Amino acid sequence: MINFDELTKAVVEGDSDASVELTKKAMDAGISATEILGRRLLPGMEIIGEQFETQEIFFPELLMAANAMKAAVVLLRPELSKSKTPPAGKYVIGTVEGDAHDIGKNLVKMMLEQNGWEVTDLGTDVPAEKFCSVIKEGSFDILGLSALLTVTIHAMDDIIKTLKAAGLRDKVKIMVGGAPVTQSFADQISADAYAKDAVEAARKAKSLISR
Amino acid sequence: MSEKGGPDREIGVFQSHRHFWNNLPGIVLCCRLNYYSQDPLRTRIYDENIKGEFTPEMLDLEKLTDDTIRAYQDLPLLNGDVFEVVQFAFVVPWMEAIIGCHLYSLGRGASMVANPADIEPGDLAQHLRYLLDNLDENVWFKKLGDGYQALAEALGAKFPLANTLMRGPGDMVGALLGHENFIERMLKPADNKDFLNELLDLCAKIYIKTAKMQLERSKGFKGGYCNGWGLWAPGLNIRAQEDEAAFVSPKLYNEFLLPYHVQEVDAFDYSTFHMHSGYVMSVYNWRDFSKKSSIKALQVSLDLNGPAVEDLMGTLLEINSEKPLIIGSSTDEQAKAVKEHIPDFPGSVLHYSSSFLK
Repeated sequence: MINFDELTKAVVEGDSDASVELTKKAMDAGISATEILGRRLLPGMEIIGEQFETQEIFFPELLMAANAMKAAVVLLRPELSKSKTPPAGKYVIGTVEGDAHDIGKNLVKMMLEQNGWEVTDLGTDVPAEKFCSVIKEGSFDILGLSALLTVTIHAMDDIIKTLKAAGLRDKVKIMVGGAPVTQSFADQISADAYAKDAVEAARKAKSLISR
Repeated sequence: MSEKGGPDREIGVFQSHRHFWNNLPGIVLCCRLNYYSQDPLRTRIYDENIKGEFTPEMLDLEKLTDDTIRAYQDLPLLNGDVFEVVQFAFVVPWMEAIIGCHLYSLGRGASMVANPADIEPGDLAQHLRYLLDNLDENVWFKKLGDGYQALAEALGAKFPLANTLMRGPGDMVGALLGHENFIERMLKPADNKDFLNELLDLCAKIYIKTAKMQLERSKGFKGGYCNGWGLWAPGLNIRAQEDEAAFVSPKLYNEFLLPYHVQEVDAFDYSTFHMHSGYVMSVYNWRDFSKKSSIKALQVSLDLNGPAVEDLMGTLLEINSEKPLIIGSSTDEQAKAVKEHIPDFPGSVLHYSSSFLK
């Protein structure tokens, strides 16, 4: 008999060994990947998200929980892909030109993936033209722009203007985030959403595409 | 001596800085934040869009010295109530470069980042031990020393020199290992505690030697030294910081970082520790830090996305009841809110902002 609470707990405690072992046991017991993901792994990340927002836990615990979840999802992926469950959405993310900081971006990516998003990561120091060509050629619901440096957040404005000039602005929703980014800056550059951290980014992404 | 205010004004400034370190009530100092505009290398990286790996050969000492002299030639000695200080090329992540990380220049980002060194984790302690014993041979250490020597000769008679921006032992180890790797190791202390403590200890010692070298080369100012905020003190005076605090929990901060901050600041007569408002109420254990170390002052930069000034005031007042406090406002709104609360502070305060709000 699988104790599902233990699997949720393994994610909350960031215990990758336990999350993998308990996921294997659940699969051996014939429980579907969708059920394992939806009923025990994701609730663990929801708990972690709430604890992070109230500062009961901090960045390291969030990172470890996301890693524990990721390790378990690797086991579920073959079955999940067979079930042809569509992703929650398609998200393309990158750190803007002139900025090479990626810890925040990587965490947003992890949180989105754990919430069922298909994420394309363009990396760091990405020029506006690159964002533009990816949006033109691909099919994405949301473009996420990250920056840590005060001087580089203006690149977000340039990217949005470049997309507008290319007639691509309406093809995608745009989310912005990073230490120097504020809601008022997001409004000023006409971004569709601002997220103060990775947990909020996952939540706002969901609400953006359900509008 | 000063183009603005004259000798009497300067004598008053020295006196107010002495009072500041003693945290006397009613000492309120103000100045403009302007140090970002005074690093010619930072300006050059932006203007010339210098992007990619940044090696020691790219740091042209003669040009940089000339550019720095030009940047300071029209400046008065005083910036509000503090001294205008010269810092050598603070856009360079000096400590990370000295310990072997690769620097990457960000062009329009007007900044640099440090990427992990090409050294196996198992060899890092040996590498750092050798470095500590042979710092004078290190190319970045030499560049930094030569830079201070040149600036002291060119500008030292007019302006005080302060230590450059140096990130702390946690930042150094984080840069060496990669920040996520560092965090994951801290979370598995059974396998990593001794390993990390040795690296942090060696980095703290390299930090101290590097800071002292700069102060020696700068030759001091009027019988003392100035820190990066332009505060003069009659002894070795540095600014210390640890940005890695943004990535750790209070527990990890206490276990891994705090002991080395104590070691670092205890090596100087007057140390001021820089913190961010986003973490000052949670991660930075400034209470224990104040009790366990000889730290003289604390500084809080108000983050754009940090708590509102009103929410921070309890913590700021508590800090100031123990130590002199430097508050850096990022926006005019923050500066205005701080200014309104100035009469509430029980000790000495230096408030800087982009606009001068005396």
